[in-house]
Amino acid sequence: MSSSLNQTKPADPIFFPQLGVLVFFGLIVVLIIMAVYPLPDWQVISPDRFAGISQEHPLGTNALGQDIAARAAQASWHSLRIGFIVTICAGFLGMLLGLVSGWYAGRWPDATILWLTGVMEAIPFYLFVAAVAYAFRQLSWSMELAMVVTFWTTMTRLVRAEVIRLKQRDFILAARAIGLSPAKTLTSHILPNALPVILVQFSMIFIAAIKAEVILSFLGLGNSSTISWGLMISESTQEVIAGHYLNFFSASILLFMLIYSVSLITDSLQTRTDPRQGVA
Amino acid sequence: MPIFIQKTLYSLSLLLGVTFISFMLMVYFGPDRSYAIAGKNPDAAQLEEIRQQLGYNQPLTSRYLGYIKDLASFNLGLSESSGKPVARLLAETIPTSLLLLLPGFLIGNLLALMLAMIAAWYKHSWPDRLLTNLSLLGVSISFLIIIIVLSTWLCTPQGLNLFPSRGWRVDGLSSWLTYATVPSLALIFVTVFFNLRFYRALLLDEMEQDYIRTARAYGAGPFAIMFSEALPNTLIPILTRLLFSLPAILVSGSLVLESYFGIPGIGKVSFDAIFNADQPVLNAIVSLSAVMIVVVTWLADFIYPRLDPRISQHLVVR
Amino acid sequence: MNQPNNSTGVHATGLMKLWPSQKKNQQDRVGLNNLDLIIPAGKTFGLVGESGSGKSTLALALLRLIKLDAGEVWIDGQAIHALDEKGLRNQRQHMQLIFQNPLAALDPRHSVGDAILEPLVLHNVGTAIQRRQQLQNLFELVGLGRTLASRYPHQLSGGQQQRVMIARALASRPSFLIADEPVSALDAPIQAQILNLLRDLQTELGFTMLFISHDLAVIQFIADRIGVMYHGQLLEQAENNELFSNPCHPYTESLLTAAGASHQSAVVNPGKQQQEINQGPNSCIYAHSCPRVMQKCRHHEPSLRYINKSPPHWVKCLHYEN
Repeated sequence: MSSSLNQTKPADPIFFPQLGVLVFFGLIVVLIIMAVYPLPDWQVISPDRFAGISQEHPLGTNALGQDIAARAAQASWHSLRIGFIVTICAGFLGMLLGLVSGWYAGRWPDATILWLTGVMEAIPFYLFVAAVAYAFRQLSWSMELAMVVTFWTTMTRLVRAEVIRLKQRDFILAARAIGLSPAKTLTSHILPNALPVILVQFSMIFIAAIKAEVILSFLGLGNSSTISWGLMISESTQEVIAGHYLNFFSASILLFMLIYSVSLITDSLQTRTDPRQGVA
Repeated sequence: MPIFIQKTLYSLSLLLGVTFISFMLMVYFGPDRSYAIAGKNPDAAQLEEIRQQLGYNQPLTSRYLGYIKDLASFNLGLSESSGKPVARLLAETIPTSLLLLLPGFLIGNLLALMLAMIAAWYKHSWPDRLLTNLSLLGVSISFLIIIIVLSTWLCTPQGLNLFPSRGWRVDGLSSWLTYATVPSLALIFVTVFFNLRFYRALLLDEMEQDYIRTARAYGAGPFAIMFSEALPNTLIPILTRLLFSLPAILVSGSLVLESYFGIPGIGKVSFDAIFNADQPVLNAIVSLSAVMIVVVTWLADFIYPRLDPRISQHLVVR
Repeated sequence: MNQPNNSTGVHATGLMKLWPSQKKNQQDRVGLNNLDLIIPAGKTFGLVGESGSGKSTLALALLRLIKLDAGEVWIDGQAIHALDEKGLRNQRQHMQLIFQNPLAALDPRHSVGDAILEPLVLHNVGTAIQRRQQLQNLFELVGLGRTLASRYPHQLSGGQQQRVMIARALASRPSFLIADEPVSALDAPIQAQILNLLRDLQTELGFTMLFISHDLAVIQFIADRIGVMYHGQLLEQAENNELFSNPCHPYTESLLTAAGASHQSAVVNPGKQQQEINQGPNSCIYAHSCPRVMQKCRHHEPSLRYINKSPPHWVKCLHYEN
């Protein structure tokens, strides 16, 4: 009775599930416009400080007279790149460890991976990034490295739990019965069935990476040789006090559009695949 | 081996892992202190002598063992930038951070719980939909943006200019309100939206239980059901979440809030230590927070089976 | 009991399996208790017993899908218990299993065509084109429309799902097939279809089959030889007609009486075996609820022995030991 009720229960009450896709396309359109619009170079300093909106500077200029639209365009690509690199590396790392851990549940590979997960989760993230940034200061991507080595743990725990759950199903026994090796069983039966959980977690890592970049840049731990949303927002903290909002608004609105749309899309993906898994 | 000892040994092994990683990153690959100690234009022999004193020439294992021994005996050393003993620095700043963060953390969680009750009671009708959509919106806004907007609105001449934009001179309730209100509001904002959907999902799960359906069928009102039925039964996951997010709030939350508002708490100390590569301070903070997290995990494994007879010891899942 | 080398059919001797208990102060549960079994090549062995008597454990143990504590399994002269991992995986194409619940045993994310092809691809049977031909043959063989190949398991009916399961099990042309309660999850009319299908397939393909059921009527319909299982042991084995006309073991007698009393569906009712009765280590396992129990039954464990050579009939009961 109750299980049939659960199946017919409506998805999570999002007003417009399509809104996520809409906002996402909006963001893409904005990025394309910024890419084709003839903007000055994002690094060029001009005496035209805190200029308002004009044809030459569609989003005005910052405290150094740099074109905000050009900087925003550059920052968007940079932030997205950080997000994707971290997501792919941390996601696959977490997935791989989760698969191994779940498959050998209760044995030494599992114990080792769980221990490593526990250790990484016990280290405060921002201090860890600071330490990594210092230890690998000759690298320009120490921030990404630090995110990758910390962001895999939740993926590992979720995939591990999913593998353990799936392993008890009859079709895994059936796969063994036809002589499938453990490696093939993992790739052709367990992985496809764990995919919904994995996909959701990939986008969670993406959101976490984009958000973390903002905080890290504000704390001065980002890569300051280029420009990102986080760096724009942190340079704008001085400007908003003086009443100049253009830099702050352009970066934070783009940032919000990305996180909000990805969250909405992830949310509807999650409720469609498993209505019981609320929030990670 | 009794479970108690097993869990304790496991917790210790976690600490060993954390200290090893922090040792490798911050001491082994960390800054070379010999130049700073030797002063200007040292000759090679002087440098060598200092290195000898600092133990740089010893093998990795003995350096690591020495490092653990210092930590375990609370021999935290002196801060390199201020020269103060690290232990005293922590003792001075941790109360400030607690004073700054705990009220907002607790209010935020209470508010989230209350809103979650409303959402769970009006499941799938408009209050629930409104709250769910708001919380998705809320978690999509970066913490930093919330801080900037709130402080610009409340602390600058462009806005209402009600509060000082920086600083911390607290000696009573009114001065606390002056300096802590805006940071607390920012903390409450993120706490509410971070936890709302989690609590809603917990309560909804509980409300689908048969005993609550029965109670509803007998006409029990929302308050009776929420406070005397659903809440007591969801207390354990709620407490777990509170306990587990506490270390993160204390370290990461204070880092952002205190460096933005210039508040001399543990976060500001870590921020300064990061930029001065103040190794002893960073070591102490990393180890301290790792101890906190490990202790919280350990507690969760032991307290909850006692609180809830349904959970037997080997069924506790993290 | 036998000399397995070079012989065909299935020979198992001294199978032992204890399931470790989940809780600390509980006794380990007996899965298989020194069990011997012979299935002549090309015949169907019907295994009947209450739930919890170890029927499924026996199925998994014969295919080495669980680890035995002791015992040997020979299938067509091949020592299954002695194979290494790789040899075992390779051997699996010759021994197959049909599950009780086909929906659970089929991967929800693979189309049924892929599910049937999987063992062929795995064991490199033929070329891709030959395999496609083979798939069509298999669909015909089990009476499924070819158009179903691209469907997913949940889109098929229970009977169709079980046909897919059978096609998958037979794809690699096994010489030994285990059907573990293959019809008990199906509706009555579908049950008959699947039983007929399995019987026809065996006549056509000539594989050896172990058919497990708790339903005596089903067993009587399909089996050449029948084994009665109780608490991890086979108490009686005999040819189909012989067992029904001349049941010797008190437990078999009680089963048949119960089935006769309830008439239409001869389902073995769960007996008293759940409540463990303390008896001596060397007693007959059925002594505590045997209507014909003797004093010596509590002190001597009977062994499985012939009471009749043709038709063959074995009983594990002290009444038949002199």
